[in-house]
Amino acid sequence: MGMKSLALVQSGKRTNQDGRPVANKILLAIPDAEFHAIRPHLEHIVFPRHHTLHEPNEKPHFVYFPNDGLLSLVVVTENGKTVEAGIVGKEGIVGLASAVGLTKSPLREIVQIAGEGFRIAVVVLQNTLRSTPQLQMALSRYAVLHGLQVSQTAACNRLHDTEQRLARWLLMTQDRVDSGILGITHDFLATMLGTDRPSVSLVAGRLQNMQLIKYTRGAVRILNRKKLESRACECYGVAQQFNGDLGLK
Amino acid sequence: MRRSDGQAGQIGRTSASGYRVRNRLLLSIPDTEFLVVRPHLEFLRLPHRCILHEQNEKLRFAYFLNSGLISLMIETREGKTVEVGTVGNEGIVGMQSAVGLTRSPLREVVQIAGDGFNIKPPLLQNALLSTPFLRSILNRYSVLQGLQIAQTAACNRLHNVEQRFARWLLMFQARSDSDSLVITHDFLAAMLGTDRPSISLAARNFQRRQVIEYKRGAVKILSRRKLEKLACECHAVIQQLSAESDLKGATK
Repeated sequence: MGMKSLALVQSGKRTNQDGRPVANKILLAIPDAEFHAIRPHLEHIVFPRHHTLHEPNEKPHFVYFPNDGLLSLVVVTENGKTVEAGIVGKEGIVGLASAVGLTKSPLREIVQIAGEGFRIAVVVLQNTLRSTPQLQMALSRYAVLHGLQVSQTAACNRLHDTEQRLARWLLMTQDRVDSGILGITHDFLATMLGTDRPSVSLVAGRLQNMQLIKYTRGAVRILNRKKLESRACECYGVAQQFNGDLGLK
Repeated sequence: MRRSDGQAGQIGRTSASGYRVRNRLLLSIPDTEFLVVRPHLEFLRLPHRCILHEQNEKLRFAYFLNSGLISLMIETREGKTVEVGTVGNEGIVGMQSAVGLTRSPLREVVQIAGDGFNIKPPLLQNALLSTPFLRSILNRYSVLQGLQIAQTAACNRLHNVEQRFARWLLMFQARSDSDSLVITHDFLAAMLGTDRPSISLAARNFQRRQVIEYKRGAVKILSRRKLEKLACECHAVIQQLSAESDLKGATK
């Protein structure tokens, strides 16, 4: 399991059987032989904004490898309150629980920023994993790195204020989608941050007044990343130090 | 990654120096795999409050607990702390090193004294190359732990001090096999990511409702049933995930 860092095949050099290019970092990191083992099973799909891939405690049917966009892992309480526990972009995989043989997961998986990628049936992935040790290791490594992201979020949710958490979220998201324009509404940001819409609007308004972000027609544009970093809590720095390990810039 | 029948020979499993193995992951792997890991298991006692890993320091060992409880903590620059997860004999501490990471932002601290084994990361990594069953149950464990931490992330945001205090006491009692828990308000504040007055207030409320009794720095649980009602749903969710990580056939 001792992969020190990801040695990536260049983005676009690999495709699925229908010729769709692969940009997912995990699929780009495994050796050719293993990629060929999984390739026939990769079904290309688009991730429309706000589309739910998995509802809490339902039986998962697919595991997802995003090429771009952003997927959110959300905890839903009994009374319907929600808060995001982690995010996944092209560096990761969604549906780890089923990949390791769990039959259900308490997390909602929802598309936060539209994108596309591949899906693979759970059973097929589990079968493939027996003959793809490097892929197994890459998933294991990703599970651990993602666990660290979630741990930091657990602390951040308790200890930091909405402005700090919003700034952190925007920065982490930008790292994953490689774009300064993030298609996201205040309602969804509130859901993600476990707060209400007015609080998000207030904080977003303040960041906008400082000319760090600009809010237009359901999208946030990051204007000054450096200043935004100074408004974020240290949790962003903690998450960022693993960007290299995840194959992110 | 599917579970197979790998429980043979778990009775009387010991380390090379003769210490009995009670860690459930180590008890659930097949004999052939246990023999690969066995020479590298170093027995150690885990005294209360002992720090196994300090935030951002180099990861020197991974740990398989036989007994006791480890808290995974995060401390901010200004010294605020909060617990994000716990590990007992169902799991491994320091899985980061098994996948080749050299550092981790988590502090690992002994919450309930116990004992277990440590193993050096390169030796564990090497062993994992020829132990597919261990590899898959470690993966399964990391994912389950991630789900528990995800629940904590939500809980820390959405639930109040009383709910979280109740949840923590239930978890702690289940792990410590005792009704009387020696814990100070300061310490509880550090675990729950709040301040001492908030904990004192919650403790007084619980005491008035005869849920707990606070005497000479020890909390005694008077009614576990009442405590369960006061705790948020996260207690049940996390408990269920812990039960899942208990592998079939592994003994206590």
